[in-house]
Amino acid sequence: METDPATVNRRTATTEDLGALQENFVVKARDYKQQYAHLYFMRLMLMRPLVLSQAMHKWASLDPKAKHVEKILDVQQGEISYLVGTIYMEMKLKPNILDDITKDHWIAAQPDRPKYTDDTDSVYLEDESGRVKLTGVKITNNLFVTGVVMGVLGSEDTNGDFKVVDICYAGQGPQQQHTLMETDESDKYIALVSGLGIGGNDFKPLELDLLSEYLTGEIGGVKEQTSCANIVRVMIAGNSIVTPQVVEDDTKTKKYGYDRSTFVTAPTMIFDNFLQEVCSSVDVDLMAGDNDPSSATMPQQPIHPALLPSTRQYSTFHSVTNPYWGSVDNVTLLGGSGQTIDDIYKYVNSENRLEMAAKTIEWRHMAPTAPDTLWCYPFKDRDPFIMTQAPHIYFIGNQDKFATKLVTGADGQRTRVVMLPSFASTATIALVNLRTLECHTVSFSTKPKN
Amino acid sequence: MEHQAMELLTTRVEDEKQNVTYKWLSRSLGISVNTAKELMQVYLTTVGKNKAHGTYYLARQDPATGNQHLSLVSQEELKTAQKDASVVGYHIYSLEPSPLKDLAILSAINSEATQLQKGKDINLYRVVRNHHVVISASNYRPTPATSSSSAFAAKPKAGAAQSAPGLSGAKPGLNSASSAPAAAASSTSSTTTTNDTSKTTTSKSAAPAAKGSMMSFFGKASGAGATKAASAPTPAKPAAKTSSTLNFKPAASAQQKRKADLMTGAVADDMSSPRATRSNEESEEDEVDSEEERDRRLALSSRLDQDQGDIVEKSQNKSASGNHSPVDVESIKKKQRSARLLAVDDDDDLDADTARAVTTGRRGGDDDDGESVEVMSKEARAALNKEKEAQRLALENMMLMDDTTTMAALEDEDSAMIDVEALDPVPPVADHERTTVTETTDALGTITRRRRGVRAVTKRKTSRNERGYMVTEDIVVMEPFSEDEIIEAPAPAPARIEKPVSDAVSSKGNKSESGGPKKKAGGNQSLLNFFSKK
Repeated sequence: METDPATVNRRTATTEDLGALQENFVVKARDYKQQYAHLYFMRLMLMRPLVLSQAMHKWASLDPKAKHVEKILDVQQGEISYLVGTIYMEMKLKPNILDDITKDHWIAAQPDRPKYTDDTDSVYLEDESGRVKLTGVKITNNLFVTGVVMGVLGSEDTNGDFKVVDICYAGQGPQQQHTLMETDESDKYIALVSGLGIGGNDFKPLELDLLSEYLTGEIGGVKEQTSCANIVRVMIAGNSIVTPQVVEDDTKTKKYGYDRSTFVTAPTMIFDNFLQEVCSSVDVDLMAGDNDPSSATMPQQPIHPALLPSTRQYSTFHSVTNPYWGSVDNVTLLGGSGQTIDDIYKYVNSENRLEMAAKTIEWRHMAPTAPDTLWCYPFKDRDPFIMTQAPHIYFIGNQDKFATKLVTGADGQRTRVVMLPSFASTATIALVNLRTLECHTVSFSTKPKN
Repeated sequence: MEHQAMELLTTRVEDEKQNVTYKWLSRSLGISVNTAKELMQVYLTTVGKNKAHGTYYLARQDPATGNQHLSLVSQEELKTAQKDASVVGYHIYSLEPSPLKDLAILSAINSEATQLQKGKDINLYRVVRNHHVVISASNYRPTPATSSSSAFAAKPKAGAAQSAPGLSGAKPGLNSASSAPAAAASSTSSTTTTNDTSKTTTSKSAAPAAKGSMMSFFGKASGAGATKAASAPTPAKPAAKTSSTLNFKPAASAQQKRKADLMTGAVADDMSSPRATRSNEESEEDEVDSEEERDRRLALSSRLDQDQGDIVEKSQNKSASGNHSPVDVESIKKKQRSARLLAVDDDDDLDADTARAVTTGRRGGDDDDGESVEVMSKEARAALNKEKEAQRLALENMMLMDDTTTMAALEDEDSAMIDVEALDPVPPVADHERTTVTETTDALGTITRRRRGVRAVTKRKTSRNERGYMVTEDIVVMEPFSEDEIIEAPAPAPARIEKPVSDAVSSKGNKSESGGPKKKAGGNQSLLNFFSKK
């Protein structure tokens, strides 16, 4: 009974700073004087060669008559040609700045719609010279969002619309070599958590305790604790704190300064305690989410460590941007807190979020709807959302349910796509095996089974 | 251990009717979590049978997908649940006096457990250890990607692992405190970092410079302690100290003017950090009090700097030479007093340090806090405590007094906050009169001269001897003072002419001014007018 129990040392993994990839997300000088057009221009400039090479590869041999038309306006009627440009979705229900102005004059407020789709939507292809409307079976059946750089093969019809026969995207980017070999030691895992929702209505404190005990290796028998020691990193993908809903009470007189009865610090403190527990044992990367105290525009800047006074002293705590490029043991990860997919969800009829995430990999762009409907910083010289390389693990947080898929690319790239559910509602996290890229869930429950 | 655990469990679950989780038990007894689980299981089957109810943690794994499902079940359900083939493990999670309806209240016990573990090494309880975790109060280190955008410079992780505990321990406390809040607005001088392992931006110059002087004090104090600190920082200290003191002064005078309720209290936190570099709690306190703390420290250190110059050097020389005889009792006592100024709340550590420095060989009674400190004799301790109290009150009053004028002075751009003394190198005169003079000129041209400093005052102390006899002695105490005088606006022409002369005069150095306060004891404003106008 009194013998010192065997201790296990947590496995370590090398991390490397991905340099430019991660740097791109950090907004250094916040200058809002520029237009968003620069962002679109950069996107087109950077992606066009990629799409073009894919298009040529696909179509140049197919039909000897098809040729690439440099400018969209130069399209000739009746000729089969292919164009490369940015998609623009004309949607009646999309939030429009002109609607906002009319709202100022007329009090009719449009309710927030879950989807902008409508039967009258149309798809345009734009480049620097002009735009052309796309029609065809391929257009009505596929999902498109504004901002994707795409190549289309077809011809112009009498109406001036471009009838599309085939489409192509940039495809999955090149991927770093996956260097992990099978060794005698057991595989390492990373834990992906999202949507802790501390302070929200469905926050369950005991589940959070179980999670921290699981991640720190306190819970479970020796076997489980040994396997827990294989978790080398934890990524928290957004929405850790929920700001309490303030109901505007018109009868109360307005007080200057913050109203103490509605502002609570408890969620941040609970989160700080939780993080401190976990950080004392394992490396944690914290990403900001929609509800977290971070910037409202994408890419969200790291949560300031001043909010987490006891956690920030740990060398294992890292506050990172959203989206986030990371690298663990040469395995590249790309993570987002969900805003990108949530926005794409509004554009398409499909409910399959996993499919949308997989599509973003094919488009080689993680947030095409920025800046159209997804608030974004007006970058002038770069588009940081382009996925210049294909990550090994691509996770999106705060989705409705857990889903995962292994997407393979033309050159043998393998990307594990993981949709993480919100922990507050499902008490589920995901573990991804770094070597095999296999993924499974761990869920916690305190309610009786029956 | 087992018996103790059983007793604890009985008390808590049966008598107090409280719930117990394995985490709480491990923190209470200081044992590993696995041992705690075993103990609880034993309790449930032997002593607490039928008196307590157990909740179990159950782990199931789906063999097909690999998904794990961890849940908490009551002991009744455990039997049936165990029959499930997918169960991979279970153990007791908590003990309750009666079955719980809602398990969420166990979370409160877990929070209590977290409270219990504060200040202790977490590896005491954990089975899975991570040796790469470095906890340091100075570990405010933005992520690499943001380091260029952040205004705060990255601090090295090895803050906790430095060689001199006295030096580095206090330093992280200060570093974190200063880096946490927004940069001080009033800092002026460029940074002279005294420790090559830390970098700070110019906006924090006041704080690091202050730290430099503070560090030098601590470095020497603990270096003089000779038993603890490594000699490494001390050679760096003298050189750094002088340069930092110079740069520090103008900012210090500005900082002095900020309101602080108890200057000494703040520094006590810093003193605690050498002892508890790994303890988060005390570092937390540092950061919580950071703004005021920094002010206090700066204010205090400016004063101390003036005193400590030769006191510390003397004591250092003494310890270096190994001569511990109380040759210079007075300076030693002064040093101790100043040390006490800094270590109000946590006397233990610093007492031990400074006491060791003295090592008069006298073994005295106990500390005010009841902990044993080797060296102080009873009457010396009592005397020192009284002085400390007096000083504390004096400082407090001084701070309160200064408040109204200081705020105005801060805001007023035109006010000439000339810290005359500070600009000159402080000559090592007898540390009786070490004053700083600040002048504020308001709109009408009225100069309010405030003289602050520490001066020697003879006081009578009565105390009880070891044998119970009353002993009275005269002790020279260094007491901070602050004296004001208001000089009416001089006529412009003479003022202009006399200004360069007065600058020349006032820049003569400490001696001329130090003669001033003495003479003007009787409120001889005319005499001071002489100095200021000419």
